[in-house]
Amino acid sequence: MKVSIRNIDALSEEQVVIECVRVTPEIEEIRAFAQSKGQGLSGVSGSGQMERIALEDVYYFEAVDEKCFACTEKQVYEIRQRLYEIEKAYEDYYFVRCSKSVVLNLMKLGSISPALAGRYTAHMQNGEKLVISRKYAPVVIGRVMNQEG
Amino acid sequence: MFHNNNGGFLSRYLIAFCVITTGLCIAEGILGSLLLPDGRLPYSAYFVPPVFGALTSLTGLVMESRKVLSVRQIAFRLFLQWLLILGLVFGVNLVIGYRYTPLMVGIVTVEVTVIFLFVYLVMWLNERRIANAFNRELAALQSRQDN
Repeated sequence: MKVSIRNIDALSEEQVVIECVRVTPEIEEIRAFAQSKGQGLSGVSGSGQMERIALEDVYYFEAVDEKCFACTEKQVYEIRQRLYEIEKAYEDYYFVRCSKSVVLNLMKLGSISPALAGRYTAHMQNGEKLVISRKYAPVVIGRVMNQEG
Repeated sequence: MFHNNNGGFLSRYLIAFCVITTGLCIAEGILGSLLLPDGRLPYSAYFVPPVFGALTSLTGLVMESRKVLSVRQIAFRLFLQWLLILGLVFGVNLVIGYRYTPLMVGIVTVEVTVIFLFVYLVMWLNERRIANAFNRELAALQSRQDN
């Protein structure tokens, strides 16, 4: 595929244009990748400061006691969105629900291994382990296995 | 198999049914030839393994939960399932009039336990196969994204 980069002056005018004969899964992947690069959200860090978080840096979102947190490699941010909103909003950016309270980033997932009775353990790239519940295991597995290369 | 939540239960139920039925056939063959070598059974005996296979597979429902269960809760439910299966096997036989000797109680308990563990071993091996396939696809997906 031919790739060309054109320099422009205004940051607000930056864009990626994909010219293709038809929208294949590969093109969809490029689109999702390009969109995720600019995507970000705001969250309150442990020190109480509002900070901008790049979506690609988030390992997983977790809901605890009505609050929602975005977990990056080392930091945890409280965010204002609800977990179901996050699940829906970032579905195209490889985020998938893995249990009632966690939405994980497939791009930060190292591997999975079987746990007891239909559950799986998600080994994140930062060494954290998350539970993939029986209910959501087919969703997580289907999300990756149905991708066409 | 992966596209809906009920598919997970159905596939687990079918795996359990097939393994239990096979395990019962083998156990009946081995134990029968050892304990009752001259015994003769009617054709209806062919239905016993699948009927018990279907009934005992249903006890897998105790593992279903809306909550994410802890390892301890899962272990307790597994124990409960094992007790339910034992109750089912002994209960049905008592109802049809079979009286167990203490030796037979011990043998049947061991038989049930071995089949129970074998079912979970087969399920675990199946899940490991799925996990390995998933990990390969995940690595390919991440590599495509990185390039």
